[in-house]
Amino acid sequence: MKAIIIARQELRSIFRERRFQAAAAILSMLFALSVFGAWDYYASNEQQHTEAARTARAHWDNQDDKNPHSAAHYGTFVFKPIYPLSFFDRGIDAFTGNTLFLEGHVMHEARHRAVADRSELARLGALTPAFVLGILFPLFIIVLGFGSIASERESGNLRILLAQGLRPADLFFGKALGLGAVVLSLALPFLLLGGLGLASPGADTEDWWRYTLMSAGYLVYLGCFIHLTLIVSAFAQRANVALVALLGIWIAMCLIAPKAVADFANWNHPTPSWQAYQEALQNDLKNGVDGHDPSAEYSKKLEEETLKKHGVSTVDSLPFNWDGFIMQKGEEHETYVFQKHKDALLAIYQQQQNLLEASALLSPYLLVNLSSQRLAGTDVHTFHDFLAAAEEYRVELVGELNEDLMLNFKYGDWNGKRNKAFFASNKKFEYRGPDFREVWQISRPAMALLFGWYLLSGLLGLFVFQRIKPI
Amino acid sequence: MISAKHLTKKYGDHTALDNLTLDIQPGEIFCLLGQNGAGKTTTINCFLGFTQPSSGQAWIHGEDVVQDPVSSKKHLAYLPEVVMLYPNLSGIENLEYFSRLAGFRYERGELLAFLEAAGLDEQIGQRRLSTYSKGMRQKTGIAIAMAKKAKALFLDEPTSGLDPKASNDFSALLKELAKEGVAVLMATHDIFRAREVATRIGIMREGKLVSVHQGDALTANELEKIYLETV
Repeated sequence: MKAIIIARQELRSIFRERRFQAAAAILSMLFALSVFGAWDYYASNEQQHTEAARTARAHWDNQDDKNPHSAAHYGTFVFKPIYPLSFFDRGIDAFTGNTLFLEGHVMHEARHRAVADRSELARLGALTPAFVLGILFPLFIIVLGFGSIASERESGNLRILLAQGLRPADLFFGKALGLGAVVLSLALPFLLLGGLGLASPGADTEDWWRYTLMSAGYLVYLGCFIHLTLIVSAFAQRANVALVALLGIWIAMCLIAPKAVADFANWNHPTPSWQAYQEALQNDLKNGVDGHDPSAEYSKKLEEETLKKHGVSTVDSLPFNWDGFIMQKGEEHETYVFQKHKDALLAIYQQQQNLLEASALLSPYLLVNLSSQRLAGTDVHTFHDFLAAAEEYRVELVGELNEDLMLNFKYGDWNGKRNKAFFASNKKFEYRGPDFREVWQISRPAMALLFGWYLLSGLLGLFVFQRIKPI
Repeated sequence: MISAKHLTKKYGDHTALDNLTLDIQPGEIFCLLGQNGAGKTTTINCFLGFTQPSSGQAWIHGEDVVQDPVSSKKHLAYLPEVVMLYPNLSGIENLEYFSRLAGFRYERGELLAFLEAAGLDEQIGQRRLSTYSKGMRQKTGIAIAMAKKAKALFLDEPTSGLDPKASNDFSALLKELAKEGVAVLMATHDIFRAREVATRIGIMREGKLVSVHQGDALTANELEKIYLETV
């Protein structure tokens, strides 16, 4: 009960402070800008994405009559879906690219990275609701709360408060509730506003669940910062010391930790350079069948084996088109090599990711960032899931074309063609991304750790307040 | 009402409070005089539970301050040298807040009556504390003590920095409280103010209560002479 009285007083006192009024006005403006800006960004990107995906498929469906293998080289584009919650947290999307070109023989990298179109400043991060909640709100909490206890001590109010028979736990809960109510008064309207945006077409029940969890995650994260602010304020003899210490913690947790942990992960599990990766890839590609070079060593060996197996002496005597067969064998070898190197690279990425997740204990920002990106579908896992799905589709599509070449065309008949109807009947790329159950499963550890952070910082706060010195 | 028996506080080898035994009855104003570091504030801190005594015991209204820290605080009010309270709240809001923390819920009229009794009228009570003088803030502090219906009042240099008129008003207020049965322990450097309000005056030196005098048995000059000889 006394905690409620303190919270009400805290709320009333903060609301009357010019410091709060100025900070709240700036933060509200930034939050509003981030919500509206991000929605606009999402809506236009989503529209472009839908349009581009439709156009790419239309190009495939309506391509001129051509040989199936020529079509495999003609290729097509696939696009990572733009999820409704990417308006909230763009995650790594801008850095990875959402577009993939698929063709025979080659596993391409994603292209059209949004960040490449912008200045270097874009690397500092876009003004998204996730940025405002993850980076700016903790600063707001610090500005409002650094003097919560230190100023009371300096003014002598702490002595009067404790002389009133106040229990330290009441003081801690009261201060935390008061600050929490101030934060909620600013964050909730914008979270609800963001939620309203989800009512637009494209969002489904799963998105609501994701949004609810994201919002809850950010509120728990801000709760951690409220606890930290109160702990430091209770420790510091003077308010200005508390402010400097808290700013240091904010810089370390929100600005330095993400970069330092990423650098440490990269240092501990280094990824090969692009050149080294390509060199190793090309070396392995050479050690196998090349569909376009029947005279190469491995192709000749395959030819000998195949002829022997079918009891014929020339490839034109085979019961299928040798051209299609060797193309498919080459494709299988290339796919194996690309996949092998990609898997090795992904294994390194996974090791880095594991280290990053383990290091996330150092900072609640890393935890909220991880879970937020996962729930928004803009994280590494979702990106790799898209790449894997796209590669699977590429293998199937090229396989379908090679099979057609092998079974329905004569050996050496490179002038044989397929028409639009055939291409339109080819498998379509239908990808939605990991479902909510899967996303929740991989988000759960970070969310649980975040909640653990909240509980532990709260317990630490109680412990510190039990030993609070009024002098 | 306010009692101490062999109360001692040591910080390492330094004895800040040495074997203090004291009884202050309801309606009594006991002033502690002494130089800086004599042990006046340490005495008050021990009663308020801000510091743990090294040995001895202290009671407020019969409640042991170490054994029952929360319960013993129900009976006391405290006014430090500088009373800041909350500058963004009005006098009446500050009073309401501290009263509610002490477990009292008053109507606006009752709060105004406490302020009035402390010498602050309604108009002043509605102003934010940021506009108050130090004397007005001290009066608000007294109103908080009155609203708590404290049986023991602890004051640490309460008249320091007050102008003579405000100091005089403050003394009158203290006497009113004492008349109502409040036991007052006041640490001060102000010999003349102590002589004016105190029922008894204790002089401290190096943590020890070295002498106790009846307030009305001495003139201000006599008290000053004793004080200077003692410290």
